[in-house]
Amino acid sequence: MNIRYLFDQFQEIFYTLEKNKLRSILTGLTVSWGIFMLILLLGSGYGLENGVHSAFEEDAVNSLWINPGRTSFQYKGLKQGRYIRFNQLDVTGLSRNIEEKEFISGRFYLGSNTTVRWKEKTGKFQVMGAQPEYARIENIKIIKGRSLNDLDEKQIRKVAILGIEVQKELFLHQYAIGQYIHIKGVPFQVVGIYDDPGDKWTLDRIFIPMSAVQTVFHRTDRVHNIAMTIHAKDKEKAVGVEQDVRELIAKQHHFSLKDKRALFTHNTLINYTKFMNLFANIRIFIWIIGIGSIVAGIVSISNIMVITVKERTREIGIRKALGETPGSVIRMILIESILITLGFGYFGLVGGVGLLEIMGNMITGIAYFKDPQINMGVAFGSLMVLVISGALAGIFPARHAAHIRPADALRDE
Amino acid sequence: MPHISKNNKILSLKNVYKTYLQGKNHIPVLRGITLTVRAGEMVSIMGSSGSGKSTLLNIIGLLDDYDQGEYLLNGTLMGKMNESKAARLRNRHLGFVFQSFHLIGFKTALENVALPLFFQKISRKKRNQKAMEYLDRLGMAQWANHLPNELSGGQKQRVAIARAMIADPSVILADEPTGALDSTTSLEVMKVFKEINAQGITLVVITHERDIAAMTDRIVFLQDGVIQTDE
Repeated sequence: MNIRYLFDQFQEIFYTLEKNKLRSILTGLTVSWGIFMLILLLGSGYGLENGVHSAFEEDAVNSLWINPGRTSFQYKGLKQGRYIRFNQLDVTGLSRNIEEKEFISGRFYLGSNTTVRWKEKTGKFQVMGAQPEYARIENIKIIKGRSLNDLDEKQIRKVAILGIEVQKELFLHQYAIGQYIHIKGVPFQVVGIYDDPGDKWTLDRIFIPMSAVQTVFHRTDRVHNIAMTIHAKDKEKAVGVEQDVRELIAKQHHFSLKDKRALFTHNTLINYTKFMNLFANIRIFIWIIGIGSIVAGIVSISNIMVITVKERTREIGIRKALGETPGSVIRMILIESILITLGFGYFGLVGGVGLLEIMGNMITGIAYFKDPQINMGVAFGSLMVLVISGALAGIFPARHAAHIRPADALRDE
Repeated sequence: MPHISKNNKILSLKNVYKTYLQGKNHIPVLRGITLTVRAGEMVSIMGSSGSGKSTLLNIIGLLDDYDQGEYLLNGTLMGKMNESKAARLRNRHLGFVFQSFHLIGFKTALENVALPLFFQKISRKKRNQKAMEYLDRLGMAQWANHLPNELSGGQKQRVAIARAMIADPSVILADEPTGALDSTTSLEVMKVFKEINAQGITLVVITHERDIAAMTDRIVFLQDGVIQTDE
């Protein structure tokens, strides 16, 4: 078979497709739709996954939050219902003894409705004492000025960093760095403004050095709770570290390790892994739906191929009577089917990817959904599956039609 | 195929039998047909419906196979053969004209006529040129770019005849070619056949109309699968 003849055959096939537009388009749209839906589904699933990933950016995924509670039973002669209270020694103790520690900070709540004044303007904000490393645990981003540092802590400086919401409300877009704000009447100098892309809820906070809170306002070294990040690659490791922390604090504060109410720990890695498991399940679910839509596509193509070939029995009979071989008939039907599925499938693929792109640009700021995308390998792979199954679905009716005796195919109804 | 000269036996059937299976019943359609057609003859086959004349034509046209006996096309035995071989033989040696024309609906007259040459892998340009030539010979040149449903019955049959002739077959087989036409058009079509026959092409025409058959050189009358008369 030479090139010219091949070209001639393709020309013949394109001609047939064009002359039977409705049939070609209906067959093709089934394929377009299948691929389109598959890409939309898989892409949205990926967007969901991305969204949760980015939601976890608000805090380091490997962080451990430690909150004191009340003992729920007697232990070593100490009474039930005793409050456990942390102080700075607990922070240094954990810092020294937990090998896996990355960053650690105590937290001290001055109050969530603390009156803060700048010049004549006042507002109520959450003021919190924290150590310099806390910025790393919360993953906050300093957008102006600087963060709190070790010197602030050591020298008990009266400085503050503000969330951008605080700056907006109190300073009304005026330059805040270097200005003095009054927290419960005590002046603090603003040294930085922060943003937190992963967590929009904590932008109305003011952070001041832990030492300043403890010295200026309370004259103790009390710490309300402790946050830390740990080097832990997996859930087992994270649980192990959590257990070490509990043991250390239980020993220090004399409560039983079995006392679940004396100490509350919250390990985000465990949560994170839970989410990752959820995702694995969502992904399986999406794949099942996706494969379902592919199968639906295959079934429709098969149906259409059967009907198409049946409708063309007489034409095939004529062609055979005029000297077309059965092999050539089958080849013609297969190439037609492949061209339709490939062309319209590609069309659906481009449409799906395009819509995902538009969705990604338009849907921003919605929780748990971000950057829907599709792996191109998966997209083209599914297209190939559809093309091949379309061809396979065509083979059987084509073979059947090609082998009907022309005498039968041409019999008048 | 060897060179065809007049008085050569172009079609030769000896004791051909054909039985159709319908459910569990064997229905004999041809019961020992012996028939010889010489090159250049114009033969009509007559018979009532169910006499087996269409089956006979299908066997001669290699559109169907037979159960027993011998069929020689231009001296070559046409026994059991695969469909591709039969398709090639039809393409090279036989032309067909049918009662319901059997033109492909989405193709123009020109493309319908050119189709047998497409199966011979002849280039588009050449086959369209030749198709135009044949359409012209049948007075259909101005209708070349029309679709079959834009043509009258007689015009469709002319297109079909052009298509049957384009591959220079030695035999043209026509199954009730005037069955769907009025009497004036029928006579025109038969005139065309006579002209074709005058060029040396063998013609076998199936018909149930006496006056159509009367226009051929020889009438074979078929009844219940056997030849009744051959005059």
